[in-house]
Amino acid sequence: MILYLLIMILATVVPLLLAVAFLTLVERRVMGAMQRRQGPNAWGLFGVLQPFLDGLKLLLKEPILPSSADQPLFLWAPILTFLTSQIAWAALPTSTAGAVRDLNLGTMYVLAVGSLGVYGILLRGWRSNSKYAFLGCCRSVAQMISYELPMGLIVLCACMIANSLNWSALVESQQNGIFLLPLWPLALIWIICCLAELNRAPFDLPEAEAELVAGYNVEYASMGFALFFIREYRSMIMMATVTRLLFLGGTAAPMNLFFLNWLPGSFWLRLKATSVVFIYIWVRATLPRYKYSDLMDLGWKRLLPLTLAGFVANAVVVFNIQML
Amino acid sequence: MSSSFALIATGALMSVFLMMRSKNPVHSVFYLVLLFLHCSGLLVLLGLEYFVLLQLLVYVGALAILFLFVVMLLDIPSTEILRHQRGTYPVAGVLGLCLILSALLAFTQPLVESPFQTSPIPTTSTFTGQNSDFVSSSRHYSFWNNYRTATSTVANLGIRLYGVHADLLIIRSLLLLVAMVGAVGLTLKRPVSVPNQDVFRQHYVDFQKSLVQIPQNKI
Amino acid sequence: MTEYVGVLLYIAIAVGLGIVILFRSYKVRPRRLDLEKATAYECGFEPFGEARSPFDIGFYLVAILFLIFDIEVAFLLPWVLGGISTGSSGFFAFLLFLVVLTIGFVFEWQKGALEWS
Repeated sequence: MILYLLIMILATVVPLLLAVAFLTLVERRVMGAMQRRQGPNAWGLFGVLQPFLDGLKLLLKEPILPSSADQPLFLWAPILTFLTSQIAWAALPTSTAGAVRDLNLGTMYVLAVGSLGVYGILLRGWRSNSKYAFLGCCRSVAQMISYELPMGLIVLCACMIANSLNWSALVESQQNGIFLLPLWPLALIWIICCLAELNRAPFDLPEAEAELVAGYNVEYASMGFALFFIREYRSMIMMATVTRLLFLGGTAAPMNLFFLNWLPGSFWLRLKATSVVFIYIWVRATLPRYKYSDLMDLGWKRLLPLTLAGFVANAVVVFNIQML
Repeated sequence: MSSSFALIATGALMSVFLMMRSKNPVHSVFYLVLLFLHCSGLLVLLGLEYFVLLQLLVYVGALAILFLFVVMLLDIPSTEILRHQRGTYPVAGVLGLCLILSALLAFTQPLVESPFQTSPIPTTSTFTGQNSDFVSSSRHYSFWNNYRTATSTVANLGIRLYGVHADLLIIRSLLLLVAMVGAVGLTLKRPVSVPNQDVFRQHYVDFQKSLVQIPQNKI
Repeated sequence: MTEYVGVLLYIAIAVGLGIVILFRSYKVRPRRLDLEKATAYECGFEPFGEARSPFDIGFYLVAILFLIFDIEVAFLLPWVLGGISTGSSGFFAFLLFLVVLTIGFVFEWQKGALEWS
């Protein structure tokens, strides 16, 4: 059994790292195409060697350790961010064979691990000894936790319809109709919350501050930086996969035609997840940045009441249907 | 089975000692997080999956972040911490003796039926015979016996929470309301009125009408 | 319960992988220490003043509100699975729970606790 587990784990880890590497390239090329220019296309066919060369460059840079005495925490921050973005994949079914561990409470597990992702950022900011960097990271953390609430409620709405907290059960209950049809307002809110949770696209003010002022990424060179980068893109892929699982039927083919079912479930999941990731990149290339006060306004005053109302409406509908 | 319990319990105790020993408050909070994780491990051994994830979600994901915010934003110099710590050693010694004594008593005394035993939430995945007898015999639960169709811990918890103990649920919501009011009462400062533009109003401004030409006297 | 052994294994492998990735660069390129590299970066100037600014209470308030609503979500989780079978009375208990919390939310909103968060 341990061998089976090991193989399943490696089957999620290794392709994911490759996917993250290519995602950096895809993002740069797609954003370039949207801005009427070319992204990196020099190395390899269509630039496919570019992410590997980037990784090689980061590997060969000299790592910097600060002179303070808090080195264990400094080293733990990138490992913690890498860890929390990786173990969320333990419960997500990436193919029709199921997840690494098909937990009965898989949705709650993913929500809990999402809450843990905040620690890496907090540690990162604390380690950089400048006050501006630390305040920037605190704002980033406040933004992330504010948008975790609507996310949790939307996941619960989908789980209420499926009557289970298991991801595979969610996928199976979407056979007769994907959840996008009844829950499309919540799907819109969900995509916005994903973007805010990832500190991305129109909500990346703390990251943008990091480019202008000292920033909380500055003390990490070489592979520490690489680990944070990996975390960001991997979380992006994870959110896209979760979106697909929640709203668009996960590993099922779009229509129940027999020849479409010949293609493996993981293919359909990847295809749909890639289209969601494309939407993320599209939004990043299109929309201007939100101010921080508007961002928190959106999270607390607009999305949270809407999501609560949606949850109650959902509960009413499901309750009445079950009572019939 | 008991070896994993021994391992996790030892880890929990070690993280407690490290937490109390460390001079840096940030380190202490991280050891506290480690302690929460070990307690989650103990709950996994008991088979209560929902409470494991609940602890991760609420304690580690929200409460420890609150602690971290406070500790990191209040920069407490370590000399001040040491100054407050020296006076507490006698009290800590007495309490530690009590702890050791109670642990010894717990190991050596025989098991006694506790007078506080309420109806247990079944920790296994199906109802056993004993539980159903206990449940159906008391008048308090007979109304809810019709709903005993669920087979998982969380579903049962839902039936108990929203059915049998709905009054406790409302009391908990009042408790959360008190917490919200208290938090606002403690931390609210006067909102500073900063000139902030309303985006929607800006969109509706008709810029054809916003500039008015004043007729000038030709000199 | 034995499902979580897989998760534990996953955590161990992920930690190992993170450590390997992090420490590859130390083996490949050894550190050459320099006074300039080791001090904190502050826009090219010498770092002056305390490393911390005065405590901004807004973060504390956001964290507490998040905690309260997180607990609310945690209470709504059993409803998702088992609460629907509690019938109308369970449903009204659920509604009352949410109404009380909504009253608290409206109170905060009116007090301006959600401004400039």
